[in-house]
Parts: sequence; C-alpha cells; structure tokens
Amino acid sequence: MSAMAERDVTGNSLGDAASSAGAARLEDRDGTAVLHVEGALDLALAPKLRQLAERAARQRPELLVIDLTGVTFLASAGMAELVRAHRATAALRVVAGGRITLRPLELTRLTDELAIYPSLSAALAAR
Amino acid sequence: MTARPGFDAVRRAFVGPDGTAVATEVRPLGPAEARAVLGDHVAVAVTDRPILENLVPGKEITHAVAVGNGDRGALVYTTRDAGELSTLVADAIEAATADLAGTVRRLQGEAVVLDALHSTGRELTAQLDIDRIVQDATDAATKATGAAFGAFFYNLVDEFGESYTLYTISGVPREAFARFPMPRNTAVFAPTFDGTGTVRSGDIRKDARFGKNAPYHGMPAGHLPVCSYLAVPVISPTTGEVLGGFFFGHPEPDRFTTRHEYLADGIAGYSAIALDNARLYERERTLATELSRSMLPVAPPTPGLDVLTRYLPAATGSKVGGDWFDVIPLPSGATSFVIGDVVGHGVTAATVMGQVRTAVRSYARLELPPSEVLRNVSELTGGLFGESFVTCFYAVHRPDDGTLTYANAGHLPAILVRPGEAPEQIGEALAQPLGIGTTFPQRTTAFPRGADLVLYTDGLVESRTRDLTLGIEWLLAGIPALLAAPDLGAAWDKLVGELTGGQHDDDIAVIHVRHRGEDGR
Repeated sequence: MSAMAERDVTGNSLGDAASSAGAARLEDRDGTAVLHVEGALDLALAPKLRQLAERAARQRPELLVIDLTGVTFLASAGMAELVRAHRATAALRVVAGGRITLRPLELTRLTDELAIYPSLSAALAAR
Repeated sequence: MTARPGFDAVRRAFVGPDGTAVATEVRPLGPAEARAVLGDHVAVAVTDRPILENLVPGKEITHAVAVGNGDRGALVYTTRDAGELSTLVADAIEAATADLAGTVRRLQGEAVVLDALHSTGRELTAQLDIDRIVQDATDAATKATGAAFGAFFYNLVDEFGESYTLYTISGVPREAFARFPMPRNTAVFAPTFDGTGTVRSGDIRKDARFGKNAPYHGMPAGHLPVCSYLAVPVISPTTGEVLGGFFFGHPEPDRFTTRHEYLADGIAGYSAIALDNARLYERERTLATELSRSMLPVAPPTPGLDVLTRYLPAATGSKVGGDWFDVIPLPSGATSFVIGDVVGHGVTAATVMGQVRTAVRSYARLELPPSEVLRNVSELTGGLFGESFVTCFYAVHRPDDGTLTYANAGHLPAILVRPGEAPEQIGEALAQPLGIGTTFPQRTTAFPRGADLVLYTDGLVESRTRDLTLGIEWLLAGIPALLAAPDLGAAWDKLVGELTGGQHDDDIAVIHVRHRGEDGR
C-alpha cells in the first residue's frame, strides 16, 4: 500500500475551511493502521473517528497512526477522541504538523501524553 | 452484435420456402421503442413500413418480429423471402407466454409500487423538519393514490402543552380550503381522527355515516366535490397516539383501489415514523437548551468588583449544552471565577456540565486552593463520566492581599490587564483537561485596583473557519478599545459580533471582572 503519495503539509491553510465538513478513512500499511482525517475534526466527525479507531484496534496493528495533516479545525470533541484512542491502543502516534492542530494540543497539554510527529513519513519511519 | 440466447428460437423460426433458415438480423429496442412497438404484447409481427423504416433505415425488410424482454426488446428481421411465417411466429410466442407475461407485468407493477413507496419512505424518514415532512408526505401520497386532491391534518403541541391542528394540501391551491373550518370528529372522520382504521369509499355520499352531523350534513357549500374518498390515520409507532390523518378525494366514483389504499397506508406509516423522529429530536433539543439555560447563573453582586457575563448558546441547536461559568462568593470574603466547557452536546453534555459545575462550587466553598479544587473535580469527573473531556479555568480573587490565584485544566488562557499595561495571557497550557489530567499547578499574580480579568470559552475565538491562534490575537487586539468604551456591555456585544462574524455554531461564554477597587488595599 506504499504506493500512496505521502504529503508532508505542515502549514495548514484556512482557504477552503468554510465548507470543510470532515472525513476519515482507514488504511492498512503492512501491519500499521493509518487513520487519515481531513477537514473539520469536531462533534460531527468525532463519532466516525471513534468508529474507525476501534475498528483499527480490533485488527491489533503493531502501530496506529492518526494522521491529522489534512485537518482544518481541531475541536475539543476531536481531541477527546485522540485521548480515547491513545488509552485504548497500545501504540498510537499522532501526526500534527501545522499550527491548526498543534496549538489546541499544546493548550490542553495533550502533547504530554500523545506521541506527536510532524509528518506521516516521520511517524512511519520512527520504528 | 451478440445475439442473446432468448432470440435464437425466434431467429430459427425464420425459414425460407425450402425449409432452411434464412439470415436474420437483430436490432435492439430501447425501453421507449419497446413500449411503442410492443405495447402490452410479448411478441408482435411488425408490418408497418414507416415503423420499420424508422427503426432500421434503408433496408427492404420482408419480415420482422418484435420481442419483448423486460423493459427492453429487440426486432428480429430479414430481408430475404421467408414465406408468411412472421405473424404465426408472433402469435405462437404470444400464446405460449400470455400467462407468464401477465404475471411479469403484474409483478413489475408491484415492484414499481414498492419502489415508489420505499423511496418516499426513505426521503420522509431522513428528515427532521416537521413542515417539510408533512408537505412531502401529502404530495407523495396524493400522487401515489391518483387523488384529485389530498390533505394531511396533523396535531402539534405548543409550548404550553396545548394541542392544535395544522394541515397541508396537495393537488389544489390551499385557498380552495381556506374558507372552511377544520374538519371535526364527525361520523365520517371519526375512524381517521380516532385512529381506528382506514376508510375507503367509491362514493362517500352514499356512505351510511355521511351527512349525519350538523351544521352542514355533508360537505359545506363550495367545498371541492368529493365522491371517491380515502382516509388513513397516522399513528405514532412509539406511543400509539394519533398524530394526524391523510384525506384523499376525487370528484368521480370508484377511483381508489386496494392498491391505492395500500400505498396510502404505507406512506402514512413512514410519515408516522418521520413525525415521531422530528418530535423526539425537537424535544431533546428543547430539553438541552432549557437545561443549560436553567443552570446558567446570574453573577451575584461582589463587593469591589464589577462582573459582566455573556452566554450565547450555539446558533445551531444540536451543539447546545456544554459551556458554563460561575461567580462564587466564598466564606472568607474571596470570590471564585469559573469558566468551563464540556465536550459533547445535547442532554448528556448539559447533564455532565451541571454535575461538574456543582462539584466545582462545592470544593470552592470549602476554600480549597485552585489546584486542589481542580484535582478533586478531575478525579470525580474521570470516575463519574468515564469518557468526559471537560476544560475549566478556576481563579480566586482575595481582596485582602490583592491577589489572583488560578489553575487551568486544559482551558484557553485568561486575559489579565493591569492598569497601564498591555493585555497579558495567563494560565496558558498549565494542565490537561478534567477527567484526563491528575495534577493542576496553580499560579498567583497581583490583581490590583483597576485591573481587568477576562475568561472565555473557545466559541469566541475559534470555529471551522477561524484559526484558534488568529482568533486569540484578534480578541487581544480588541481588548484595549473594549476597556476604554463607556458602556462595557455594548462593547462586548460589538466585539463578540466582530469576532464571530455574527455567526457561531458553538456556545460562547464570557466573564469580565473589573476590579473597581474601593474595597481593595
């Protein structure tokens, strides 16, 4: 599955955020579950993230990576799901490169608890 | 083209005068062509020249048989001499398949009916807006029953618990009924309004129940003529309560069949589910709004301090319920300021908020230090609500030594403005949210006479379209003008409007404390 192009976008833009209802999908990369999240990670998308994180956990991957690179708004509801996934999964890594995702994680000091990486390639490489 | 197996038998029937097969060709027919050529038949001999010329231009067709297959078909034809067999072939096919074709047509008809009912049901039950549900249902049912007009009378309950009835009309302008009073529970209407069953009549005027009630003894003068009549009650699947009734009319007799009745019953069933959903949704939303509003405090007068508060519930109701604030006078003469945000929405979030708020108040009244207040509440929160994520800023002002001591569980920083100084953010990223964190360090700072403290929730500074970092910068930039304004309340309303662009889909709560100072030292 490594054919998929990796994106190392660190400067999130708000340009198209107005209509950015979020989306999430799960990908299996040779035993690593990668959960890609895009758009607004708020109350509307949080249940979907939980569902996919739980599905990923059932397959007992060596590693679960939640990739927030494409996230344009990280609300508390989204952060609550990151904490839940972290406590339910043995090895969770979170990709949060830009200010839009990092700042809320810093203000809530979830950076103390979550393993945060600046890019998906960094999260996958550090094994 | 690839000949389909079904047509081979037809092709083999084309034989020349010597008894050997003649070459045939197949021209597929689209649904519209098949209907035009075949009508209700499974097979017909096509002899009409213009039709043949239209389907297969430029060929001298000697014999042609059109054969139906589902909603499509094919024209099997030859340009050779093939005797006079084609009519016989068509007749033979028709005779052999007549029963089957009838059954297929009937089943196709049923499938169309079920498809229509199913898609109507799916559209109705996907909605939560009562006005749209009732109009869409009336339109769909009137169309499905072939009625000249249809009406849906439905019952609602207002905020005082009084029930009232509204109606929608389909097929004729609403004005056609505007002059008449609401139908009453007369003998004809009783089975519908009481929910006892469907009424279907070829001519309602001949029904024994018709015309029995004063003052009209039948239809009021000027009423649209109703001869064929069909009425179906709409009954809540959860409570068994009659939510309303569908009425269909037609000026000619015997227009409504058992199939129409079946369709009307089906749409009534879906309408009942949709209305139930809409009512439950509305009830939950109202409850959450009421609950969170009833729990919002009015800041009590505090000696030496001016306290201004703002609470704007989410513009979109589904997210209501998470934010709260409190101003708590303590026995020692100190005052606690609390602001917080519970993740989630609706009744659950409002309930958690109420309990967390009470817990904070209780520990505050014990005059525990801020870090201890938040630690205790965090333990309680984690145990009580398991999966909660609650942010909270807690600050205590002590007038005796002019200090402010605060702790912050994952909430946005507060803004402190000392006289003559630029706005300063305090308490940024001190600890994790309640229910997650275990230690909550506290800080103490001077809170002198003339100083201002602003606590707020995230709805003020961030949204799907506003980056948190920029939102906080804009808020800080707006503070000096706010403090200089003659009317602080109006200035806050203006600043909130500017920051949110007049729209907010999350709750917003603000506490602004101004140290007037006459009681301070």
